[in-house]
Amino acid sequence: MSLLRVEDLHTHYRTATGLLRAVDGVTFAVEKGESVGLVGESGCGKSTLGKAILGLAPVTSGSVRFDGAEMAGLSERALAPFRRRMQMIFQDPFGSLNPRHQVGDILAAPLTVHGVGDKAGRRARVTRMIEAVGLPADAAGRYPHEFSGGQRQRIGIARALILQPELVICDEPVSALDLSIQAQILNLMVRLKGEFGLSYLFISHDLSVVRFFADRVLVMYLGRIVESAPVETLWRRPLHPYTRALIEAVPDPARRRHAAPLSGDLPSPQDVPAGCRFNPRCPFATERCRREEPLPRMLAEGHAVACHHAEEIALTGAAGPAGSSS
Amino acid sequence: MKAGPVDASSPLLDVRDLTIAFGDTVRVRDLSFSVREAETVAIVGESGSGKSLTGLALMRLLPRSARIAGGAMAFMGRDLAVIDEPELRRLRGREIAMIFQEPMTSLNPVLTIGAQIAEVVTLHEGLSRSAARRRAIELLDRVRVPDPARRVDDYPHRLSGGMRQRVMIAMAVACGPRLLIADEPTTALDVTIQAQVLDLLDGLRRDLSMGLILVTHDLGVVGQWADRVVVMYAGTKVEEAPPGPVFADPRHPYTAGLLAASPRVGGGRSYRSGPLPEIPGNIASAVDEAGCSFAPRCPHAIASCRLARPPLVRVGEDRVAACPVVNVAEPAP
Repeated sequence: MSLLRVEDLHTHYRTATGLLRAVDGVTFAVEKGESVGLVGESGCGKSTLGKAILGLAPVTSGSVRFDGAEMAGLSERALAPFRRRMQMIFQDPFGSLNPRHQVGDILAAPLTVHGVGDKAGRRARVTRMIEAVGLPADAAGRYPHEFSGGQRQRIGIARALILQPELVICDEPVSALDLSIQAQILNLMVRLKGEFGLSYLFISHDLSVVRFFADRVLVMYLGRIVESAPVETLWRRPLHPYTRALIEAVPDPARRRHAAPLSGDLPSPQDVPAGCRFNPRCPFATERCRREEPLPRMLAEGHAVACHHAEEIALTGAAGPAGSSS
Repeated sequence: MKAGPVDASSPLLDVRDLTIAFGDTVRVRDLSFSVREAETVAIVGESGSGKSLTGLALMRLLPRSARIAGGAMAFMGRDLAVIDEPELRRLRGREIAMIFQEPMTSLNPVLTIGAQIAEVVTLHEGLSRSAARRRAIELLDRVRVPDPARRVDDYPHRLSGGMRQRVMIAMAVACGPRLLIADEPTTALDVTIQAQVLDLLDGLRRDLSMGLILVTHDLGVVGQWADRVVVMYAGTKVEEAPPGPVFADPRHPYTAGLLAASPRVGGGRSYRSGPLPEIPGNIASAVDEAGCSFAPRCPHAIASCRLARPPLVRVGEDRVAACPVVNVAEPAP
């Protein structure tokens, strides 16, 4: 049984200017011990999806099962036992840490809320966690503002792990950090995965970070997953034209003054194109793509793609039908 | 300190020993670099490196509490560090322009984009209202804003982040500047849009033969678009070279550490093949360091590194680096 199983999940918002389909029919699973990367650009719904799984964003329809038990539609009270087993790490650790509380109290709070241990037991657990994430031993008595960005993210990680969750959903956990600090935090998260037996859903706009961190990758575009594959397969043989463009758009010293792979802006999730959502920007789009929305198809072991023309595209060399060099 | 790379043709911009201070705290120290016509120079570094301050100093837009404490910035026969306010106003927008990471904060939300572009061209070129509007549409077209005749009447909030940055670029290049300073121009943009905007900037650089200073934290951007890279750490230039040699064979331990720590550069790697090489500690350790500011984090540091700031030395064709330790150990070819 999958640790997390999301099926046909929708999160729609009514706004003054119309219906916003932030998550629009998403299906995937996270297996125990697995790191699943979720990549996409702004407005694709990746953050909303992460929140909807935890019950922090509304679920319009669909199913979220954790360890076999249905979570979608549960009351706050009924969600409490799930929340203990699933935690979240955010991009901006400072914004999510109460500046008036000492780190020790911040870390003990989830234990108190969930009634874990007695006072001495909680204190011991806080001390162990501070050590596990590589914070200085005196961190418990200090305030968040006394720490650098990277150390604040260590506090955020410690807070997420203190209840010993099984699944951690990370939303852009290293995006606000400088490169030299980013490597420290990524390494820490990998190490903690082994130490605590974690599974991750790792949400990021940064493909290179996802490539390092994930076992399997989901590519999201305008509320839907357009491709999913094991990480190396996705880079070696991307099948969706959007995935290919995303990979090609990553600035790379090996591609000097390389032209942009995609033209046009990202459409708004309030104005989803008919047929395939990607068709207005897609160099391969045909009449069928403008008419008929492609469903995900399993084209190889563990490799699913939602594109009518995936087989032909697999045979072309680069991101465009003209086959420019890369 | 005069160990900068030399070139026969005289540069468009020549910065020598620029020092920027907040009170007694030096934030950029003895920085020298030059930019030639139609050349892209990337200033790369992490937070606290002084890269953005350097861009602001060139425009004389430093925050009030900061000052240029030394050095010269020679640009078209003038020293930007000392020219007076009227002359500065004549240069800004016309000869030197700058764009920033967040176009929304530089655009006026209650004016149409057409009115804002028209303001720039009226100010500098003295065009009539209708001529300024035509010029605004032309400029929007030039920066590849689709349907410019209609877009010209839009307010900034109606545009996407990428389109707003194009509008800022249109305003910046309206008068055909000789030098454009772009401070993290694509950091707030999605990766497919980033590629379009960098492509656009590069095309303008070529067409207008303008110098382009790309201030960025992104090594991938540097490698793909720059002709020359200035690597900064804690206010000092630690290495300068064309990007190819820097990526293939970094000559400063900070540059080497940054490249190794990047999951992006070098073809991508997975956690399964081991952890990313880390640079230990953080930049705060550079404060109060009497010697090399990177010494507290440096795997190669020896006792002498902590005593005096290492000078920049020539380490090969068109390259300098500020590390006598690694460059003595492996002499330049």
